[in-house]
Amino acid sequence: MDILGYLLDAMTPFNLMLALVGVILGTIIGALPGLSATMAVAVLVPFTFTMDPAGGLIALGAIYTGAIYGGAYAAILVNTPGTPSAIATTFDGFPMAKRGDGGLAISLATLASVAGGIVGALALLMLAPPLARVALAFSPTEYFWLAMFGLTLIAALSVGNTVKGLIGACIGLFLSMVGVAVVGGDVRYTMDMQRFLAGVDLTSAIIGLYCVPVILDLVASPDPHLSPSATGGLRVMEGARHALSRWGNLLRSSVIGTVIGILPGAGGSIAGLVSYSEARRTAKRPETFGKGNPDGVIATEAANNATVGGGFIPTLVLGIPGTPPDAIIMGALLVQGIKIGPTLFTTDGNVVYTFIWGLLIATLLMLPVGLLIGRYAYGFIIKVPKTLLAPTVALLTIIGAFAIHSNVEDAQLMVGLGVIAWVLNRYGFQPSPIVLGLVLGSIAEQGFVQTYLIGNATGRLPEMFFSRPISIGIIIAALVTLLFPIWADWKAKRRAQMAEPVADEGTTIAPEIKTRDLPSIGFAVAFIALSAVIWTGASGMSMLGSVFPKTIGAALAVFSGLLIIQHLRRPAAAPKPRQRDAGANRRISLGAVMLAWVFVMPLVGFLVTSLAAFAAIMGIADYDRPPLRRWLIWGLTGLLICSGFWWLMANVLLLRMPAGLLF
Amino acid sequence: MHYFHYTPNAIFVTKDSEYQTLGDLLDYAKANPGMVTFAGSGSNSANNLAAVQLNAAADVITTYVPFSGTGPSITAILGGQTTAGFNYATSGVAQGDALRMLAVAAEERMPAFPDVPTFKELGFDIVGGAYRGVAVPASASEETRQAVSDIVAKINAQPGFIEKMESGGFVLTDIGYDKMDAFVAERVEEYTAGAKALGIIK
Repeated sequence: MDILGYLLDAMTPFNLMLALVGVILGTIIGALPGLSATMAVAVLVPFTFTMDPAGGLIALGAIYTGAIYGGAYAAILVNTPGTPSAIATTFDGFPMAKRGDGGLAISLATLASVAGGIVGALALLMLAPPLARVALAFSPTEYFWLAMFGLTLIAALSVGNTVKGLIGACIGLFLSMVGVAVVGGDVRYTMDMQRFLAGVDLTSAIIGLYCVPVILDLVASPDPHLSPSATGGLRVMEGARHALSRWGNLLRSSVIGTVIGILPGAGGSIAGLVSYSEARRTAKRPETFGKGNPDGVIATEAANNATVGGGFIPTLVLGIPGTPPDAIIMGALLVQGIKIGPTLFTTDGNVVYTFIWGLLIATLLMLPVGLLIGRYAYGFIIKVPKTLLAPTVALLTIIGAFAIHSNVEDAQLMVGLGVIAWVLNRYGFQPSPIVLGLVLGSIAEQGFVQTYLIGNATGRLPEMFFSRPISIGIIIAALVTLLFPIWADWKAKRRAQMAEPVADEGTTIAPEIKTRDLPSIGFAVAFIALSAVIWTGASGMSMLGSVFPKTIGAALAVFSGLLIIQHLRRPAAAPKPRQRDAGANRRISLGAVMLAWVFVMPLVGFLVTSLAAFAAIMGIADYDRPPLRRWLIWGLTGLLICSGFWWLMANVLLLRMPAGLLF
Repeated sequence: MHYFHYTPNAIFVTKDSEYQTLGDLLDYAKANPGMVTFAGSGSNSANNLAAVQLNAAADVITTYVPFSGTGPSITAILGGQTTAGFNYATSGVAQGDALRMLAVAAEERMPAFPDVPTFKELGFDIVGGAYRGVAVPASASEETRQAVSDIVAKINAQPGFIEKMESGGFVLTDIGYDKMDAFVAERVEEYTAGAKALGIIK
């Protein structure tokens, strides 16, 4: 076995150290929202030029896999995916942390990430050439149906509130259309502002949609951010027992992640969503998903780390990067003088196999590294007082949104979307369908239009859409996911009826009556207006560019109309006494401070505005009225945090910081 | 300040494709208007422009299918999702024998592909691709502009560098600061015509 021989090459002390340092750096970078795997890899590529090719690759692969894993921390602890791959981790991870099981969630995420990473890396090691064919077998049609499959998850995420979930998805799909269209080349819905030409940045939108509402709620009440855990610590043994008892879920999610990783352009976020929805469908009690079911965390984290190994398969075998970090790593290989492509495994087998072993070792190192970092991260979030936690998290969201393109406009968009998301969420429009629409929109649109073009040109449009074997498989999976919650609901009701065969009139427990909700009708009217704007905006576009906007606009109008009818048919609610939410003032001032922060920053400078905003949010978030001495300590800590991050960004990441008048 | 190279547009088919030459492909396209599909990177891009230019020059109707980048469009060609692809010559280097290059939009045959004819040889006046150069802010002084141009020209003239780039599928150009205005004027003319054909300018 030649392959095993390369294991020894990978185990040199220097390579082991690279793997360890890479995993640590990657995990920390991934845990900070906005600092993504792509960025981590890009920043560190130049350092690898002086190393030998295999060592450099091991370092980059370790950073990549660590960053994908690190995304889980932020998802679990502050409901913000540290990387887009961890979107579905928030669904159950954050509810677990809220009720005091955050340590367990981190342990499970760590174990699942390691398991998924190993499956992905083993597939890369042993099956890369045959598996690369999967990438070729996927036509635009399959990408379209895959995106549709992802969207069916909305039905499961918004049980009992499906119409609002669908409206949210339409809004997300609309946001995904902003900017220059890949198909058709139209400039869409930019309101003639240059900032929207490149579209709505996914990462900053996710940070805004998920994290800003959390900060707003954080300051609104004196309750601790997360319930303190009963036992403390990460409960590693309990996590290990639970993860092992779910080996089927682990394996299925890892395989899904590997296969989706192979598809260029799909990536970790879709892998996480698909395996989450599969885990939910096969679960005994699917209704517990989204409320803190550990299996949701296992499924997502196993899948997204499996995409790392999976993504390297087309990169190394076909020379086609599976994910954006792969593209950068491919560039690094080219600089090293290694020619990527079909012949790589034979001509440079020593480099490739040494690298794959190194990736495997790095994945295993994630276990101790992750549990150690996780322990401190969890302890920090639990113990740190709210007065410091709220401004620190707010600072991280702004840094994250800014750092993606060194662009303040992304941070402005992030805060703006976040405030809107909080308002919408209050009236039952959850952020997850919006994010799903935003993530899947461009894939769905490109797949649809490409299929349409090819099918129309060759005169077999219906066959293209409905009679390719892989497509049929995905369609069936999508239908099952879509109909399953309805079926499960019906079965539960039936079971309840069987249990109480004859219920006397008057003794039946009245179901919770849904009453008419005027704000919802108001939102629906506003959305109908938005759909009119989408339609009129689409009229000037090319045929290719306008298909999708018109469809989404029509769908948005239909769902909004449904919502209005639904609410008009409900009984009017008894007028509630108007009372001001106790935390409302704090929420409003926090929102105002964050908006001011991002809009004043380019004028005055990053550090000054951040210090001022940090101090203001400390005041807003404080409930304890501590003595002056403690204020001084907290203030000093805030000063250190702000200037520390500023220094890190300006001097280590070499970002162009907004300087403005001061600094 | 300096355009230092370009990656010429090129037509690719898979190694198993029935089309051996550009002539074969165009004969089929003539007989079956619209049936030939080209995968390429993006709408209104260099690939898209070349496909439109070919339609006009060869008097055929083909269908251009835009993808989100070169990676996905090469995947589509390799997987047989489209008849052929309009991509850049660099993909021919990366894919080796997996793809067959039918014609390339360079002035002369490329050292990396001595057997691939240019469009010009085949009677179509199509030359172009993705041009790459360096720019400076408008506030830069004349000296800075010239200095930047000179540095890039110097790098571009190193024999080792030339060898590396040419074997990678790039065509080196030496359009310095002094030749820039004329070059840009030519491109503006060509692209304006292309933009009209693509329907961007009405």
